Amino acid sequence: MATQIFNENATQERAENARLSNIIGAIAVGDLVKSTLGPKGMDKILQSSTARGDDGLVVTNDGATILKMIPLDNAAAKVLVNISKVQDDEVGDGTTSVCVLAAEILRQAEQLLDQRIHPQTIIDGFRLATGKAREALENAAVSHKDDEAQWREDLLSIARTTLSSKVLAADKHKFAEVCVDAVLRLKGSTNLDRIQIIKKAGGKVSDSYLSDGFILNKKIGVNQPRLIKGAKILVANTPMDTDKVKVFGAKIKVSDTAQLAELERAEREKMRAKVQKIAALGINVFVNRQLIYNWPEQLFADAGIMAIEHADFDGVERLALVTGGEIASSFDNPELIALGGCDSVEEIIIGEDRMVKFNGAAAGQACTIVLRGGTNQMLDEAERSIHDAIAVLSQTIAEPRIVYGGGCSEMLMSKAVDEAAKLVPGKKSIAMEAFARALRQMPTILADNAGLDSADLVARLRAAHYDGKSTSGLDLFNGDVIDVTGKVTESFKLKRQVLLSASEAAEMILRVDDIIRCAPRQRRG
Amino acid sequence: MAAVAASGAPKMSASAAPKKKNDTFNQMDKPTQVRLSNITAAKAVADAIRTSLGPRGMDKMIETGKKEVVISNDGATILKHMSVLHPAARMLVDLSAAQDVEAGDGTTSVVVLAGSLLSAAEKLLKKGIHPTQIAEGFQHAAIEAVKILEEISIPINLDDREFLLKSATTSLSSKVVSQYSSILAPIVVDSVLRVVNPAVDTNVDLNDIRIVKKVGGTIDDSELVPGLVLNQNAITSAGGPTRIEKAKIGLIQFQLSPPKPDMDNQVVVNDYRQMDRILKEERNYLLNLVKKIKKAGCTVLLIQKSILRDAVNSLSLHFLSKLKIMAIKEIERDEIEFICKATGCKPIADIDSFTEDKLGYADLVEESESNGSRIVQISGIKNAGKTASIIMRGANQYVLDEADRSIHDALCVIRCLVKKRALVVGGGAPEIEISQRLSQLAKTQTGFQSICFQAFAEAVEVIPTTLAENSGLSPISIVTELRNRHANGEKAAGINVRKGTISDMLRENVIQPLLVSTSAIELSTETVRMLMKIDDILAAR
Repeated sequence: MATQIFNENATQERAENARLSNIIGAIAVGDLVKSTLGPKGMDKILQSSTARGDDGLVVTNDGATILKMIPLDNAAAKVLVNISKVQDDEVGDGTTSVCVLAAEILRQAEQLLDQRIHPQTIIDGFRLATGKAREALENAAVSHKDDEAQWREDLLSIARTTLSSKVLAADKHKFAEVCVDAVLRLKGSTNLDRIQIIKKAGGKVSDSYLSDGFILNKKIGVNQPRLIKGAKILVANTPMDTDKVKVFGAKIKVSDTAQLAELERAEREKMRAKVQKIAALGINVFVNRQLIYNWPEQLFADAGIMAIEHADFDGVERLALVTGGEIASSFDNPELIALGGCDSVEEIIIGEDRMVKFNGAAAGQACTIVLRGGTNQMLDEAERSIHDAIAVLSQTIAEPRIVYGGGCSEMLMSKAVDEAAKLVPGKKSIAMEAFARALRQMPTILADNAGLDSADLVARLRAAHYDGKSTSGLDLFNGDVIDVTGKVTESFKLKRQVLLSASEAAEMILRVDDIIRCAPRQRRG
Repeated sequence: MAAVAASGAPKMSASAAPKKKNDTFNQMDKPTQVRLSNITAAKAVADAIRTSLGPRGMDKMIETGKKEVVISNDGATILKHMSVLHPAARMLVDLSAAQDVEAGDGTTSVVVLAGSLLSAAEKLLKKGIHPTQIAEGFQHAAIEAVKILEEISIPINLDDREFLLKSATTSLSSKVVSQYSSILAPIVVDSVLRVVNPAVDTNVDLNDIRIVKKVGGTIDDSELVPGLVLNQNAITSAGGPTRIEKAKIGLIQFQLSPPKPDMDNQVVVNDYRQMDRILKEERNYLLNLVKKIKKAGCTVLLIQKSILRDAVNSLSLHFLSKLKIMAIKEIERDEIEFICKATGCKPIADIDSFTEDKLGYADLVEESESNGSRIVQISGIKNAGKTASIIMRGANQYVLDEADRSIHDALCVIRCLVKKRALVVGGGAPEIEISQRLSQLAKTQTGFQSICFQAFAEAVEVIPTTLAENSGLSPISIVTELRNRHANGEKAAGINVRKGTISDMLRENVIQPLLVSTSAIELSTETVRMLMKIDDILAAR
């Protein structure tokens, strides 16, 4: 009978138990998302237990989204969720791959543990293997940044690879163009705020388009111009109802109604003065985050200024960013106010709604992707896919090297690790071989998901690589081993990140030999 | 060791725990189950509204959570009110809503079609075809189907009012108001033609067409009003006029009530004489406002609703009626734009800017009473913008609501024709044509694609089949007869529901916009593809 050290409800798992519980947890998470991998991967419905209505229903193929939304009760599983999140933030895509690879590495580690190999030895082996794999990957990476046509082709190919596993697969050529065009407009910046995505139910997915310029989902005030050329834009966050005295309890005491009427008049005059001050800046488009009441709206209309009220925080900030203006909230010092500009502002109709479009914005980088689709789930998933593709592309522009997909890079790394293992003395080499096997699991899963004979295909792929055809990969549509040059391309940064994050996470989980679960805090019922 | 592992396993779902044996079997089992459950749920939704398709389709009565009763034949409306729980079924509800946005009509057909495609997919799944291959095959088939539709479509000219009338009539024929289609169809067509410029416009903003619903009378009392109709009534409590000829209309966004600054205020009264003075001043203040309005020549005053203070008080109403100004209050802020466009007036937010140039002119503003309800009608407007007002009348609220939805559908049909100026015939004819041509295409292809094309071709036959079923005809004999006719080159042969035979739909004037049919095929295929790709339903936070 052990002495009780912990609180009553706290639990402890030790050594073998702890390790196995971790490994099993991680493998379970990997198995959960692995069917979404690759161009023939499947989607999942996530049904929320709390939110009802449309918010509670998500259909997705994106690993990070799936893992984020599933409540898990296993420490190791949470580590995997975390690396997938980090992958999402860093590169934007490969969120499933990173989880699956980590889980596969752990699956191999479990077998090594069965053979009574010490975890630290396994970790040493894995580290060596990771280093070798990384070297091989770096050697295989190529950059075509100097050759413009080839560079664009590479980007398109990367976008297609990313999109082919998503719901937009059927229109991947179109969306690849859309994404590449959008990202190239950023001119190397990785600030994706400038690419706006507007979702409108109705139409079909292939009706989506890239619109140069910024679209604001708001209406233009009554009686104001519907089209302005050579727009000078003031983006503001200022009360346009009345400038109230904000001191609590401020009150006016009057003795008769005439004075009250005068006060009302004075308030109106104050607003008129404010509008005049704004108009004096020489603008013809005024966008306010807050409401614009009827009175100033009329004044703006009289001054021939297009006034747009109630643009939300996000809209105002993006608009300021893309038009090159700054958000103003006081108008006494005209010299401090930076106006934005664009070629024209006009009202357009998308679906059934009217919106305002800013064409040819000063910063020149703005663009809007208008997504159409049958259902809200479709639109949400399309947005996530587009976001992934754009994120990967913008990262690729920053780090232009590319590698080949379709299991090609994995097989390449696995071969390098296998060969290196032969030269390593001691038990470490067993761990390295296991790592190579884990890498080979990736093409296996790709083939499995496509309903193909994975054992045969992967063996043929390995043979091809040992035969010196180092650009061989899987063609999952025809179930064959082909030369994937120019066909399935992936970002080098993405692949490297997947490798490093996955092996790091696996190492971290392997190192654990004790899980202590604190007693949950008692809530008073 | 394995036993230890199992006991040490944390709380994960049983299926997720790794198994060494039977691994593949278990992994293939669950996705199939999920897929079948999705298909079953989605088909249940499709079956629920299937009977409302076509001119002989039935209506559904729905009691909402708030104990309101909705009676409708419109697929989108029925589905919106059904509280569907299953995620796959909810996607079908969304699908119908999307068709409503895109085409406005065909909201039932799109769901029925999706249901039928899913049944076809289910059979293909049982044959062991990979779901993504089915999704792909259907996608290609849908593209071909749209091409076929475009090929057999008839281009039209918007000047051809006859054709527009016929398409509106087809859309209305399946609704509760079908016997009034000879009245409603012209209303719909004329109101759309009024707001668009047929030469340049490629879209219609339906916000420019206003439908005012009044209970009382029958549907054939409905009319397209020249000018503008207001929801609100004239205020007659102070004896104001209800009929003004040669009216000048002002739309104000300020209030005719005692001044109220936005800051907190207090009027301090020291003695009783001051009380008198305050009352007098209030009187003067209001009189002043009204006089200024009168001075600008305004004879009809529309007053925007304000949440902060009363729009008018009895005193100002009294002054207005003395000066023979007709007053209408409680105009909503979102109506302002429409009213401005319709009457050519500009909103006035302050008394000082109340000038004559902001007023609109109309020959007659009159509040008339008919069938127990009063409506304000403005006619003979000078400088009227491109707007249209329709007065709907009906015996009760349910009929009226359903008539409103039917009119909306018909408006959308005409809008579709403005967007894409081509027609196809109705009565199931295009579906049979698609089915036949796709089967022929299927024979020229190989592999899974061929099977998917064939399945798609059979699935679209659900539309004529359902039409026949709902009309009490024998679906088998009708559909086979249709196939025969189409095989002999009669592209326009469709089901004549009224006579219960097959005839040339073009001659029977059963036509619908191309966009409704293409959008139904595209959207339903898209949803089916999405459902095919799902292999798991997980509980999420």
